Amino acid sequence: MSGLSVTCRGLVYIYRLEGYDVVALSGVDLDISAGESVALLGPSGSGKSTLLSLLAGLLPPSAGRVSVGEHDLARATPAELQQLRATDVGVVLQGASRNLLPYLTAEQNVRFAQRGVPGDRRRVSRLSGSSRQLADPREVLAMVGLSGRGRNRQLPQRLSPGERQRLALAVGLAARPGLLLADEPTSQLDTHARDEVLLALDAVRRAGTTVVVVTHDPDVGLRMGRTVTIRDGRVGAEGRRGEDYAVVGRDGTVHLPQEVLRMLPPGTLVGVEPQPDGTVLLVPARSHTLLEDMQ
Amino acid sequence: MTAWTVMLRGIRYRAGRSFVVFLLAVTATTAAVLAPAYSRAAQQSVLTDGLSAASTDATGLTAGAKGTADSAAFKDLAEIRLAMNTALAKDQLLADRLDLPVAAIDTEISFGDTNAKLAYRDNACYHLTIDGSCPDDPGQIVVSKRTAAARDLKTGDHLTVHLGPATGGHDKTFTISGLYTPTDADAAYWGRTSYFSASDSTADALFSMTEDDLRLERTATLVTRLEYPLRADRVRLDDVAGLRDGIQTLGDRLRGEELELTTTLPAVLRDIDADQASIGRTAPVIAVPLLLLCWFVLFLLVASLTEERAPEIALAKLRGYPSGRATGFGLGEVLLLIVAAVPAGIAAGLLLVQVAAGAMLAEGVGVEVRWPVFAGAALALAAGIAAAVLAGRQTLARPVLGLLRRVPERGGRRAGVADGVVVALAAASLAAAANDRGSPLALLAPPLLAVVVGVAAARLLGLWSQARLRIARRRGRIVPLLSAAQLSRRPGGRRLVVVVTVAVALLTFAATAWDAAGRARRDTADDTVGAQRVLTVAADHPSALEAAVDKADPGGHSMAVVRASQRFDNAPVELLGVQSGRLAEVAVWRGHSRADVSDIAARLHPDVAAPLRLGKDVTAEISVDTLPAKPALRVAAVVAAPGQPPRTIGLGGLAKGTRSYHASLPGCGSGCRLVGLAIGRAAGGSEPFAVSVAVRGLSSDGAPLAPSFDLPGRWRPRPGAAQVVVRTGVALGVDVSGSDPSDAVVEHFDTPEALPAVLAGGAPTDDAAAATFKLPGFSDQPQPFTVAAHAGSLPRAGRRGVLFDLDYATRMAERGASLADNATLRYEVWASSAAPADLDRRLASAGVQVLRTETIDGQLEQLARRAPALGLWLYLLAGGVAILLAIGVVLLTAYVGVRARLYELAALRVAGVRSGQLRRAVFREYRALLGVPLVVGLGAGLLGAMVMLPGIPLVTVGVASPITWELGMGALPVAVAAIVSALAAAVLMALRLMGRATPERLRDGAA
Repeated sequence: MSGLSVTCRGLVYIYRLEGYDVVALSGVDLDISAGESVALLGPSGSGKSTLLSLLAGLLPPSAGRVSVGEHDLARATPAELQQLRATDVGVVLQGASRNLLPYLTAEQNVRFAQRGVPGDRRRVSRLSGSSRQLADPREVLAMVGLSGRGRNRQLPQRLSPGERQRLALAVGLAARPGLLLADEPTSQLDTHARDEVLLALDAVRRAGTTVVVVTHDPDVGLRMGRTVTIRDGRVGAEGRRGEDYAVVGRDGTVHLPQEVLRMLPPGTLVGVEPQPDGTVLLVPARSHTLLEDMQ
Repeated sequence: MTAWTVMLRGIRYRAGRSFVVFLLAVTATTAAVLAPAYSRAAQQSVLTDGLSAASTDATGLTAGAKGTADSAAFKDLAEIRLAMNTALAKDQLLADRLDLPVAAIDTEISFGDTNAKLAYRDNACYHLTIDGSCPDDPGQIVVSKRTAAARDLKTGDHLTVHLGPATGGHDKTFTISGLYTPTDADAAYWGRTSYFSASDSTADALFSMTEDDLRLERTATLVTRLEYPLRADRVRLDDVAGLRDGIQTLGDRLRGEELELTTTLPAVLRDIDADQASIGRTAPVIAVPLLLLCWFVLFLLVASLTEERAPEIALAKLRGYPSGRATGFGLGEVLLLIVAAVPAGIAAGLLLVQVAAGAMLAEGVGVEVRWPVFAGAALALAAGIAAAVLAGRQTLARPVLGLLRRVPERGGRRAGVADGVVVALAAASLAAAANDRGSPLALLAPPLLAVVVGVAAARLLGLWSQARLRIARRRGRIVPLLSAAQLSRRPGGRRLVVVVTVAVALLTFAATAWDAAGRARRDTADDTVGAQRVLTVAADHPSALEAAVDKADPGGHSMAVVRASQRFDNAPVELLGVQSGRLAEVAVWRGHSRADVSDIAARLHPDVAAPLRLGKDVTAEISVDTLPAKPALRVAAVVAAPGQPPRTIGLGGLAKGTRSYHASLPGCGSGCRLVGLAIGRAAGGSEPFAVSVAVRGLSSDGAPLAPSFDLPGRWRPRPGAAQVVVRTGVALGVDVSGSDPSDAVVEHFDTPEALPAVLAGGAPTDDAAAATFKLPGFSDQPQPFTVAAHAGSLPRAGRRGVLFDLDYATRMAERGASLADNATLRYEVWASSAAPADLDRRLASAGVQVLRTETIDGQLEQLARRAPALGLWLYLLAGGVAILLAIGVVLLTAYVGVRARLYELAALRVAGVRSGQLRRAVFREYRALLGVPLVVGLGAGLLGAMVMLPGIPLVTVGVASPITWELGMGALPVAVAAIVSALAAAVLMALRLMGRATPERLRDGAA
């Protein structure tokens, strides 16, 4: 399993709601390296799940470019997108149960997901012994920590919530994709179960798969190594190894962190003053100065 | 793991829904199989019934000849048999359907003044109980015990009979080897030949077992024949065409052998054809609405199930399944169930037809597994798959995110267009069906009408609930608000209303039609049979029949009836002579109470003089004052023996003074009737004369008669050329003058001047409203009738006939004719339920052979197996299945998507809505959803029945029956009760289901 890189350039997505155009993403620029583990953070409605859907090829971008590995998703045909999801991109939907067929066992659920891979490709992979060969479902389950004690033969409702979520991850990984997209994989889980899921995601990343996770939980973001905060349809900030950074947009815009925004509410005029040490100073304009200027 | 594993596990996971799909597909297949299988069985039943109901004589084949020695009638039976066998050998089908033949020869003979048949019949001794021995040897005969007793014969006697015509022919003496009684005179073995009809002047047949004995006299007319009974139980539908051709060919072949083939089988088959054709047209017409309903419900079910499975299908697409495989995954379960339902549906259809055949159809009729059954199943399969694919198409075409999102279905323009198309098609078909109410297409009208009103009702319900929603919002009433909101946005509500409306209308119409047909059958049976039991008999003449009935049923619960047919204005007029004194007790006359019938009967039998009954002699005391010298005159009595033509018995030459004139009356041992007195020339001629006589008294067997000479009109001159004047008084004065060569006859009037009659239809004369008319009654001479009463129809005679008193009609007819010789008269005995059960046996003992017995119950049974009844039964079954389907849809609508609904209700609970309010809201919702189609469907069904039933044949094919609308216990109240109960049960189940909406449910989520 080798990871796939992700590139978004000026990615825009607009949907229609009751006759109105609503901009969900308004120019996302994002690069994720192969094998990287990224958490997409942001408030509800910020567009992070929409971004995930675009990366999975489930939505066509309204504008901009998005590519996964060598695949340009904006230009891909529906068949190519379907093939992409069958082989290269694994998707884990929010809510573990939504990823699983309740009447199939854990192992059968993984097999069901593997049936999307075209038969000829599966055969070629086996003959060539390439690294893209489909894994045994039990290996996949083992990767997410669902091995032993007959776990593979359990129906989803017999599993604990944490195990069910890990099974959902296993289903997403069934075709050994280069990119795993998971929407809120740790929501509604207790701390222990959450840690198990994060451990499983870590194992996936270590195996070389690029992992993109949508989450509300900053702790999860910290554990993922890199966080990307989506705000108002754009990449507002990034965090690397616990450090948060604002991201300068292609058009020069910068999303200020919330605490700064409280100090500089929208509409505030600021002076941008580069400093000799390489830092940039934002100086709010004083009100009397402004009045003097006006007079 | 294969796709099969996934499918089977999915089916097991959704066991309830899968079972409903399976059941629905089975129902559709059953309906599709039912049409051809039931048609076939019903047609076979009609054929078997028709052939069984027809007499053996009518369906059997008779090959033979009639004539004297120079004809084929004198051929050896073996020769005729060989000719037949040779001919039949070339037609195995016909040969297989015919039973072993009975060879028979008979010829008319006489001994003394008795006429009889000398008969040979194969194996007759096995069908006779003989005291003595079977007449196996030449010159031997057996005589019936009854004839032997009447003619003073015994075993061992020699009996000389005259063979051949009265003038000519020869006598031949036979030895009586035994005395017989027929083991069963009515057995089919005896055919239609009247062997056992002894009376005063005729004897039962004399049987010989030597055929040559019948050919002894070359001038005798022999009837030689082989009688082949048809094995009705062996005749299958496929045989009919072959039988028709075979009979035609056989007749042609036998003609070459100078033999004649007689059978009315083709005519019987023609009558049956009409019923069969009707069933063939009706069954598919009835099955079509049921099939369409099945497929529509299947469509709804699959659409709902596919929608419910949308998240699963989304998963398949999410995992990169190509569209074909995703479709296979989405529809595989349903398609597998539909395919699996085919054998089950075929089996269920065949089993249902077999059960129906056992319960309702003719004996020996069963289901036939033929290609149309499989064609029907294949059609059901194809239509089921098409319905499933169409139903799932919309869901399967949605993208992954569309499948994952739960967006309530919106009706919209497409649904409106679909409704419009359905309504337009239904209205056009309805108009076509209503224009031809007599055709089987008319049966499509009620469901079409139901579709139209159902769609309209659904639309109106939607508008009404939207209006209610606005009102409830304004007033802030939670219960109406919730129910109206659910009704106005519920995706399946409108379809549910249409389905339930159509189903209720179907069953309502079917039940109404069934009840109306039941009443029409009862009316028809009453009209057709005329009494609880009617026995068609062979009798010598009306008086003999009356005597036999009196003897067989002294209690008076039976009635002799003599029938004849006349034609007027090229239409048949049925004549019914009844014993009016028993009419009220015996006849079943629809629309007439017993008192009515008694009143009518009294009008048919006004008081008239009693007939002057004569015994072995007659004496007349006559005074003559003046007598012409020439010509010599004589006086005679005109005497009629029962059934015989009037005879003129000379009493002697007229002489002056008062004298007794006497004559013995041979052949009047059992009673003759004095018709009148005749005065004429002793030696004939036409020499004019004038004479006056006074008849002072009449006596017979030494006892005086009551001639009532003093009553005017009692004695009247018979219309003729001679001038006759009658004077009443103590003595009957008769003045005769003229030159008419015939005798002057003065008749004793023991009948009304005109025969009072009940008239059905117009009077058979130029003026249909005339109060009197003339019509040949039981003789070929026109007789005067007077209308005593009018009736819409006569028992057993239909809507055009004349009913009168048998006794008076017989007396009138016997003034000038022999009724025994009138072959056009048909004799019957009508019996009430109080008549002896063994009346037929008693009549046989009294010398009347019973040819056929009909009962009202038997007639009802037959009518219940005619095409219209069999078609309506299928309709009733279809209506019942439709209701079950509708209930299924109601439950389906409740169960599919129940989790989301429960989630909503649970959320409402959390929001503060009380459980009682929720329950009331759900109840109100179902009350509207089911109450509206219940009322509308009932109305549509009843309206359809009122419009269509008067034009639909309910009893016999091609004849629309008058409908009597009356409330009472029948199929309709049962159907309504069943519908209401089933819908109420469905509502209770839905309420119970919705009762599971507890706040805890919110933890699990909506999915």
